[in-house]
Amino acid sequence: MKKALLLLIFIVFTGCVQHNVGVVGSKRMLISGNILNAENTPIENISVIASGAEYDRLWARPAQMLGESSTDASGEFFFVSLDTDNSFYGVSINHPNHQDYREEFSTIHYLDSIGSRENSFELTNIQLPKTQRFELKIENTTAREDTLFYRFTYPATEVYQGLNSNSFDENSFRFQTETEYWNRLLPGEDEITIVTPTLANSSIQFKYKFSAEAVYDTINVEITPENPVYEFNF
Amino acid sequence: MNSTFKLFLFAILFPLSLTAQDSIPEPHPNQYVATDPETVFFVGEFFRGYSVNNSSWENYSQLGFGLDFNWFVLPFLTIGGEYSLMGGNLKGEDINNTGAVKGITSHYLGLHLGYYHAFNKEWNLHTLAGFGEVNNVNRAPDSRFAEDGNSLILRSEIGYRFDKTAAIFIKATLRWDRMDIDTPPTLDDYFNKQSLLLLGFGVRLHLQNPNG
Repeated sequence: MKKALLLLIFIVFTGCVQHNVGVVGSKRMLISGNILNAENTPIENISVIASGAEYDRLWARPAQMLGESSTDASGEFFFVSLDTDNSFYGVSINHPNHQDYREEFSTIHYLDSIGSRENSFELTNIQLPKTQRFELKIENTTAREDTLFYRFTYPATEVYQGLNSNSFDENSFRFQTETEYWNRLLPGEDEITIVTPTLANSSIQFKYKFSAEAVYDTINVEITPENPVYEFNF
Repeated sequence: MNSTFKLFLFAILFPLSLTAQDSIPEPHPNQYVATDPETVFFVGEFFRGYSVNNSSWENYSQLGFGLDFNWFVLPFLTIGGEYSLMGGNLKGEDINNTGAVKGITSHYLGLHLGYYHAFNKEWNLHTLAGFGEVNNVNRAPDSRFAEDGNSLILRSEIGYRFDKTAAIFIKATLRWDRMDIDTPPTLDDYFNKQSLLLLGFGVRLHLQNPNG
């Protein structure tokens, strides 16, 4: 009992200790590259930051920043970054937590695991897709007394890739490029509207069924800036 | 050649050209040696630094102070040691060229050999060369880390003595720091070869040995 209590105290204590992004002394890294849109045109004023993180998600809090820059008129960036040896390391393109975040573009994180790494990384011809708002409207127009089970998958606007090709299993959850949403519409509920950002000119897969045992029917929906709404009536 | 470097050359070479014109085998009669031989002097100084070359220090303000000790081996020859501390804060918010280093505290500890010449009873020149170690403590947002290097200095001081004990001076120092930072080749000179011009002023405390 006493040992268990001590262990509990230790776990609570260590859980309360804030993680610091430790910097590797006597090392500077060079991060460079260029960013293009879907038409291969350079994109100007996109923030590019290097940061450390305790886990494999890059928050880019001020205390975690290791370097930053933004793209010039030719879409190129070039900056010096510190390195960390006790944290995950990543380079983020258009990070949502950065003050210069541009909502109309997606976000790409290049993540590296804890440990040593090269002193330069060149990220060339990064394709940064535009985003758009997608709206799904589901309406029970026939007063049908069934439960609607539905789910839809859409391209994520924030994706992770490995900074080094061998640093991660890119099939892991963190590296998924699609987001899935599922829910149900109960009898008596007339309608629901779901709004989410997704990539412009992308395809969304909508699945539905009217009983838990049934197999989903699938509908593919093309989303464009001119056609951001899909209505499903039953 | 930028104006800072020209200023440095003038500050270093002009006093040397003055001393090159005379050759005094014995200490100058006005020097305080005849009755109470000069033994040591202590120095306290303040200085401001300027980056002479294109290096990472150009992104930081440079202000510091130093403490110096000199011993007269001969009436015109000194050996001594110096400790100086220079603080640098990032100018502006741009960390593009530096990484997230918001400030640097640079410690220098070294030895030097100097030539001391009294033009007259008040005015004098102290020119010295030295080497030492430099230790830069960098402040990142979430941690501090230190980096070491070697340093060479070349300095000229023009001093004015009020009496046997007290003096003031102005100085120009060229300091070359060679760091050992792992960088890609394109950044090697920028982070590992620092040339600094330090302009400053200070006070000296001269002590004599009454018994010769």
